[in-house]
Amino acid sequence: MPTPRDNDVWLEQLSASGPERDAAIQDLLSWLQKRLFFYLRDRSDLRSLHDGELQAMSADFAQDSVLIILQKLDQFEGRSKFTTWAARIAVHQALGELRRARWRDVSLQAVTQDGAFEPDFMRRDETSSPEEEAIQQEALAVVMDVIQNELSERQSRALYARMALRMPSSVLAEELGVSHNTLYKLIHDARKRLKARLLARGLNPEDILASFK
Amino acid sequence: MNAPQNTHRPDAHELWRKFLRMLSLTRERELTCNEAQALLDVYVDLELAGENPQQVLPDVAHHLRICPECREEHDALLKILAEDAS
Repeated sequence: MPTPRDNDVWLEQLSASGPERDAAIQDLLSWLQKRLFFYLRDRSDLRSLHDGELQAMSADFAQDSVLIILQKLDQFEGRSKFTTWAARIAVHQALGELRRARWRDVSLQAVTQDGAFEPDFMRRDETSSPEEEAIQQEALAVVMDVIQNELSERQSRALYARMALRMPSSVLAEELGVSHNTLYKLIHDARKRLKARLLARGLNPEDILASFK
Repeated sequence: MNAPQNTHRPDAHELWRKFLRMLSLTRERELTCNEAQALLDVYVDLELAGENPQQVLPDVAHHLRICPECREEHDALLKILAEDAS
């Protein structure tokens, strides 16, 4: 942990000027860098990186995070520990960077084949009984009907990118040129419509789920 | 920056199940990622204090079930702080 301070002391020192502020910033920076390093070192997708590379990554992430934390200081409402709030910002920053790096060279247009919804992930389970298979087929027909006839092309692409490709929402929002909240609403509206249509046909998503072995 | 390689897509049935699970969890009113993120530190502090955040902040708990990125950030935050406290 950084030198123990309560929330008020953190705020006071980080808002001040002079050596007290410098010391608080350095404490926060060192602590975040250390915690991020141990976290990154545990990630299975970063196992190929050496400790030196992970140290450099965690130093970059911690520095970027401290700048953001200082900018957002007046937004801290004291509902949590200051260090938890600061770590939350650092985690968001670090994981956001990792996701952007992972998806840097992926084009949504290319992976969704000119915007067409690719339903290959919605196959029925071949090991199901005839009754279960009938439920799955009916559900699939409803889902495809909604996707093809009721959702906009943008909604279909966004849904496919999120569900089938696991494209992170921050990356997808940038690809579509919309805000994160707009993207959330776009997909939420699509999910609500799909669920409503299934329920209107007497198909509860949980029952369909149960039909899979 | 050295980036991790993209992971393979999960198999078709697993995706179909996740899709249905997502529809099953869909509600008329849900927190957006920004709204859930703003409460994530409070949620994790409750967890670390041995309290029940699902009861205190049920909408955040729901969001964490449907949003893989926010769930990943929650897990990372909890890991970082739990190890720090130990």
